[in-house]
Amino acid sequence: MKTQYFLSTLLAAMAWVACHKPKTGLPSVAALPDTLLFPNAGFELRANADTVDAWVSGPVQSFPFSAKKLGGIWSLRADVKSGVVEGPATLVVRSGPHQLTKQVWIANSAAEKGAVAVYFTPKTINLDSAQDVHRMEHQIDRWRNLQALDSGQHAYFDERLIELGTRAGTYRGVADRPLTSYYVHAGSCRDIPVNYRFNDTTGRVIISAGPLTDNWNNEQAGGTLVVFALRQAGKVRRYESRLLDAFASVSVPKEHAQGALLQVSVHRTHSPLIELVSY
Amino acid sequence: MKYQAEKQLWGDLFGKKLLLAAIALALLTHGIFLYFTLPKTYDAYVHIFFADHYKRFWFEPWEYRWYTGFLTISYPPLVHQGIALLGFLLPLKAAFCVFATLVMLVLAIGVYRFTKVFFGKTTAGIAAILAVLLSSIVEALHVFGQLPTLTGIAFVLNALPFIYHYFRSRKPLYLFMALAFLAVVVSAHHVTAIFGMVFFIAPMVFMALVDSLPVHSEKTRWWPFLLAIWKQVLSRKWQILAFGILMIVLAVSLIFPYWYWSKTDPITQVSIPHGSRDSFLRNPASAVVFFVIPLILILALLPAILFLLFRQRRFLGWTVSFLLCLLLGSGGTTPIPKLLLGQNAFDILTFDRFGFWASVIALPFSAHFLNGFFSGHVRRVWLRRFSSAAHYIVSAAGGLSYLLFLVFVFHLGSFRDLQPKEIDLQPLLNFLHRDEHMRWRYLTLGFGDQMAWLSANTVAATVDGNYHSARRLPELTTRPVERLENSKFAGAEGLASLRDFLSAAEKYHLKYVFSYDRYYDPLLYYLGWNRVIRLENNIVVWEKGNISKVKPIQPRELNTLMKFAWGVLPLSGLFMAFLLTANYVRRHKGADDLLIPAEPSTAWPRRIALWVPLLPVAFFTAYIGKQVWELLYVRSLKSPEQTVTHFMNHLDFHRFREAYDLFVPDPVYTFDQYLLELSVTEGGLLPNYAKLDSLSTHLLSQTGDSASVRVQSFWRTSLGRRSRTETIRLARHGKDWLIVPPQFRPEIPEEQMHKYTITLFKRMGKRVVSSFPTVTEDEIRKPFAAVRQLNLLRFGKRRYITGEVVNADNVPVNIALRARVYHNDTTWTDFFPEEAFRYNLSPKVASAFQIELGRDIPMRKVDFFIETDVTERGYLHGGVLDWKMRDSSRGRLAVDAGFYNDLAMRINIPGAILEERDASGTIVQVQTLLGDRAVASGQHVSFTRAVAPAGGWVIKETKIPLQVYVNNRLRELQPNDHTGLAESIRGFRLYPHCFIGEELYLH
Repeated sequence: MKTQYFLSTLLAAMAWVACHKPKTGLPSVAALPDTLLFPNAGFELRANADTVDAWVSGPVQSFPFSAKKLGGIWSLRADVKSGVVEGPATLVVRSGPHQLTKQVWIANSAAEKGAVAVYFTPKTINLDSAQDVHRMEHQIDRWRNLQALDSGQHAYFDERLIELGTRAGTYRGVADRPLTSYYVHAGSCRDIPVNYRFNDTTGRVIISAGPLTDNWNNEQAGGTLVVFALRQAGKVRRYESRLLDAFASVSVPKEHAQGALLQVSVHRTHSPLIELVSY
Repeated sequence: MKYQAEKQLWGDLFGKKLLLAAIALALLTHGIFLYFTLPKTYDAYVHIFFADHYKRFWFEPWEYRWYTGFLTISYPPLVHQGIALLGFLLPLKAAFCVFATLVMLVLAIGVYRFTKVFFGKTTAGIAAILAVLLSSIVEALHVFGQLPTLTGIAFVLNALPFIYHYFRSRKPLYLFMALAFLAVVVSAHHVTAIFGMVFFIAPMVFMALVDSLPVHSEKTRWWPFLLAIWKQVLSRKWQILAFGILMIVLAVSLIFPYWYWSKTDPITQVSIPHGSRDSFLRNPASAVVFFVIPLILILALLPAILFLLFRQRRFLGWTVSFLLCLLLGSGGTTPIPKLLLGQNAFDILTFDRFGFWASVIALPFSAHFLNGFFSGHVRRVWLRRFSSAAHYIVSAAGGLSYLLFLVFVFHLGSFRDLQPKEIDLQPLLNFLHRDEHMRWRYLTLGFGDQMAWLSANTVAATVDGNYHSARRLPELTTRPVERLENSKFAGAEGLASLRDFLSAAEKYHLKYVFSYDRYYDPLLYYLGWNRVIRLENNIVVWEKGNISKVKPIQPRELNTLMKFAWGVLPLSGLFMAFLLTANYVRRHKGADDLLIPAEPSTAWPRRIALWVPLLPVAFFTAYIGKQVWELLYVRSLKSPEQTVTHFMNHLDFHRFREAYDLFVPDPVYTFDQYLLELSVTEGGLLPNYAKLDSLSTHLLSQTGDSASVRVQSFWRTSLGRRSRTETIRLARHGKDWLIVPPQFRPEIPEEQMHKYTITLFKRMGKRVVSSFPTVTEDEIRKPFAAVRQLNLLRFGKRRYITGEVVNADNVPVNIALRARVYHNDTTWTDFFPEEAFRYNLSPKVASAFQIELGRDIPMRKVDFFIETDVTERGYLHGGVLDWKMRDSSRGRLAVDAGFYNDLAMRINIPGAILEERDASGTIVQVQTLLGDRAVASGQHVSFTRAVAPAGGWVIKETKIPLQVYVNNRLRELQPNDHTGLAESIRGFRLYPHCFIGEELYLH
C-alpha cells in the first residue's frame, strides 16, 4: 500500500515537472535597433526572461553582447572597444528556446579619415617597352573600411593612365610612403663609345667605355657588366668591369694590348672591332 | 651439511650486496657519464627525436619533419614514449639519460636474476657488476646510443627466470610474469623480441626441460638423453603451446601498427653499407669497433666460458646460442652468416647486435670463472702454484687494465672523431624562426647525428632524416646512402644522391642548407646555391632562390583505433609489468629459488686456472698499448715512399707543422716561409675542399743520399674524384729520408695595394613590423630574364637541352631553370641544370646552360620554366680570363685557360663556362671547366682541359614543341644574335665561373 502511494506520488511529481514551463517572454521586434554604432554599441529591451543571449554577426566579424537585467529591463552592450568593418549584419537575441533575428547596420560612431593607398601597374617600367603606367587610388581606414575619396562625390576609386617621360628614376606615389613608389628603368644601351690610351710610363693601356646610355640619354644601371674582349695571336683575353656612373674601364698590360683586336660588349650591344695601336 | 647451508646463506647475502653495489655503480658511472657521452653517440639523438615526436603529437604517428613525412609506427614506441613522458618534466636530453639509467638498473637486476638460474647468488652479483662494466654494454650505450636494444635485453633477462620457473613448476603465475616482461621487450625493440626467442628463450626452455629430468639423466648417453628431452617436450606440449601462442598474440597485438606498416609499406631500398657486415680480417677498423671492443673480455675468458658451457648438458642450448651469436657477430668475416640468413637479411641486419648478445650470454659463465678466481678453486690453484702476492698482482693488473680499457670505451668518441664537434643550436633555431624560414625545408651538411637533435628542437622540416628504414624517396632508397648529411662518406653514390637533392631543390621545397663542412662548398656553389650568413656557431647558411614554400602533404591515413592503441598499449604494458612485479615481490618471491639446482663447485682444469687469468691482462694491456702507440704516432721515415706518404697525410689533415718537420732542416727555409709559400699556392679544390682517398708512390730514382718520388694522389671532392701527380725530391738525413723544399718562384704583383671596384647591391626590405603577417609588401617584383635560344638536342641516344639566358634587368638576378618533359598528356618529369650554368647573373649578363635529359626518354613536348629572383650575392664570377684552343689527340681539343686574379680576394676554384656553337649559332654543348689550384689577388694561374667538340655530331630536334615560360608567363625567344666577334675561337667561347671562398658579401 505504501509502495503504491509512493509510486503514484512520484509519477504525479514527474508529470508536474514535465508539464511545467518556465515563464519566458520575448521582446517585441520593434524593440531591436536598426543601427548599431561601435564602439560601445548597445540597446535595451524589455523581456520577461531569466537569461538573454545576444550577438551580432556580419560577413567578416561577429560580436557577442553582455546582458544585464535591471528591474525587468535588459541592458545589452557589445564587448568591443574599437571600430569595426562596417556593413550589414544580423542581430540575434536568444532567450531559452526562443530566438529573434533582425537585419541591422553596423557602423563606427566616430568617422576617421583613412590612409590613401596608391598602386601603380606596372610598378617597374623599362623604357624599352611601355611608357605609361596605370595609377589607382583608394582610401581605407584602419578597420579596413573603404572610404569615399575627397576628390569626388561617392567616388571610392580614382583611376588614371599616366604617360611617363623618358627620364629613368624612382617616382614617389605618395610622400613618405615607399610602398607607393614606382620605378622607371633605363632602356637598352644604345651604343658603346670606346676610348683607349697607351701609357708608356706605366706600361699599361687604359681602355674605357662610356658614357653608356639608352635612346633617351638615361645612364645604364650601375653594376651592369661590361666585357672587354681582346684577341691577340689566337688568344682571347676577357676583362670584365662593372659600370659606375655610366663608365667602365680596364687596365691592360701593354704587351697584351699592342695590336690586339678589341670589342666591348654590354648585353646585346657590341662595339665595333677596334685594333689597338700605340702611336 | 650445516656448514654448507650457512655458507650458502652468507653467499646469498653477499650476492645481494654485490647486486646493490652493481646498482650503485650503474648510477655512478652510466648515470653521470651518459650526459657527456650522449652527444657523441650514433643513435641517441635519433631516439630523442622520436621522443620529441611523441611529446608533441602523442597519438599522431605521422612525422612530417623527415623525408617529406613518414610514419613513426615504423619503430616500436616504448622507449621513445617513455622518454617523452619524462620529457614533460625534464629536458629531453636529461629525460633520455634518466630513462637510460633506469634501464641500466633493470639490466643489472636482469643479469643478476638471469645468472641465478645458472649459478649461485655470489656469481649472480659478480655478473651484475660485470654487466654494468661490460664493454659491449658500455659501447652499446655510450658509443652507439642503442637504448631500445638495451631496454629489450634488460627485460628479456628479467623474463627468462620466469620462463624457467614456468616450465619447471607449471604455475600460471610465472607465465603471466614472463609475458608481462616480454610485452615490454616487444614494445621496446622488435628485433630483440624476434631474435631473443631464438637465442635466449629457446635455450632457457631447453635448460628448464633438462633440469626437469631425473638427476641421473645428465650422465646417460646422448641418445637416451635426447629421447628423455623429447618426452619432456611432449609432456609439456600444452605449456609450450600456451606460451608460444600467447607470445605471438602479444607480439602481434601490442605493436600491431608496426606489423601493419611492415606489410603495407615494405622496405625496398638498396642496402646501406655497415661496418658490422665487413670482413674483419680485411677491415681492422670495423673489427675493432664491432668485434674486439664489445667482446674483448669474453674472448679473453673464452677457454673458461667454453669449458663451462661444454661441461653440463643443461647448457647445451646456451652453447649453441653463444657460438651462433659469436659466429654471426663476426659479420662478413666468414660466408656462414650470409648462408644462414640469406642475402636479403644479411644486407638489412647489423651484426654488432649478435656479438652483443653473445657477450650477454657469456656473462654468467664469465662471472662464475671470476668468482672462482677471487675466492674459489682458481684462487686456490694460484696460491698453491705461486703465492697470494702473485694472485693479487694478477688481479690488480687485470682490473686496472680493464678499467683503462673501459675508460677508453667510454671516451671512444673523444679519441676518435665519431661525430663532428658539438654545435650550438640556438643560432640555427633563431634563423629558422626568423622571417618564416620554417616554411621551406632545410638540409644539414656535416652535422653528424646532431641533425636529429636539431630536428628535435624545431618544427621545421628537412628532406634528410636519420632513420633509414622509413625512407621512401627514390633519390634516397635507390642509393646506398645512410644520410645526405654525411654523403661524403658514401663515396660517389652519396654525392650523386646529394647532387639530386641540391639541383632538384624545388621539387622538395628545399631552400636552406646549413653547412658545417666546407667540403660541400664547391658543389653547393656550382649548383646555384648562395651563401646568406655565417651564424655565430660558425655554420654557414646557403640559400637557393626561387623555391616555393612547402605545400601541405596529406599524411598517410591510419585507423584511429590503431593510433590510439599505439599511443596507449606499449606504456600500459610497462606499467602492468611494474605492478605485477611489485605484487610478485610482495607475495611470491623466494618460493621459487628451490627449483634451481644448487651451484656445483667447479674444479677448473689446471691450464685454464693458470692461464686464463693472464689472458685479460695480456689482451687489455696489448690493446691499450696499441692505442697509445697510435696516438703517439710512429714516425717512420725509413724509405722515401714512407716519408712522402706521411707528408701527404699531414697535408690532407692540414697538419702543416708536422708536414714542415718532414723537410730537410734549412735555416733559410723557416716554418713561416713554408706557410707563406703555402698561402700562395694552396687553398684550391685540392686539397682544401677535398679528402685524400689514396696515394700511389713510385720511386723514380735513388742514388746515395738523394731520391726522387713521383706521387699520384687521388682525392674525393664534392665535384667528383680528382687526381694530382707531382714529383718530390728527398734527401737522406741521418737514418731518415726528408723532403727537399720545392723551389718556389714567387709572382710579385706590381702594385703595393691592389684595388678592385665592385657595385654591391642590397635588397631593401619593406616588411612592416606588426602583429599581422606581411603578405606582399616585402616581396620585390620578379626581375626580368629572357631566353636567347633554346635547343633540344640529341647526341646518339642521349638527349639534352641547351640555351642561353640573359638577365635583362638592372639588378642582379638568381635564376632557376626547369625543363618539364611530357612523356604523354598526363605524365612528365622535371629536369634541372647542374654545374653547366651560372645561376647568378649581374645586370645584362648572359649565361649558356645545358640540362641533361637522359637516354631514350619518351617525349611529347617540353615546357621550359625560368624563375627569377633578386639576389644580392653570387654574381661575381672571377677575374681576367685568357684562353686559346689547340688540337689535341684523337680529334679532341685542348683548352689552355689562364686566370689573372684582378679581384681583391682569393679565387679558390678558378673555373670557366665553355660553350660551343655550330655554324648556325646554336649552342651544342656547355660545360664547366675547373682548375685545381687557387689563385691569390694579383696572381696568375693556368690549367689545361681536354674538350671533345660536339658540333657535327649533334642533331637538333625540331619536331618536339618547346615552350618558354618566364615567371610562369609564356614568352617568345629573343633574337639569337651573334656574340662578340672577338670572343669566339673555332665556335668556342669561355667566360669565368669561379668559386670565391672568401665571404665578401657576408662581411
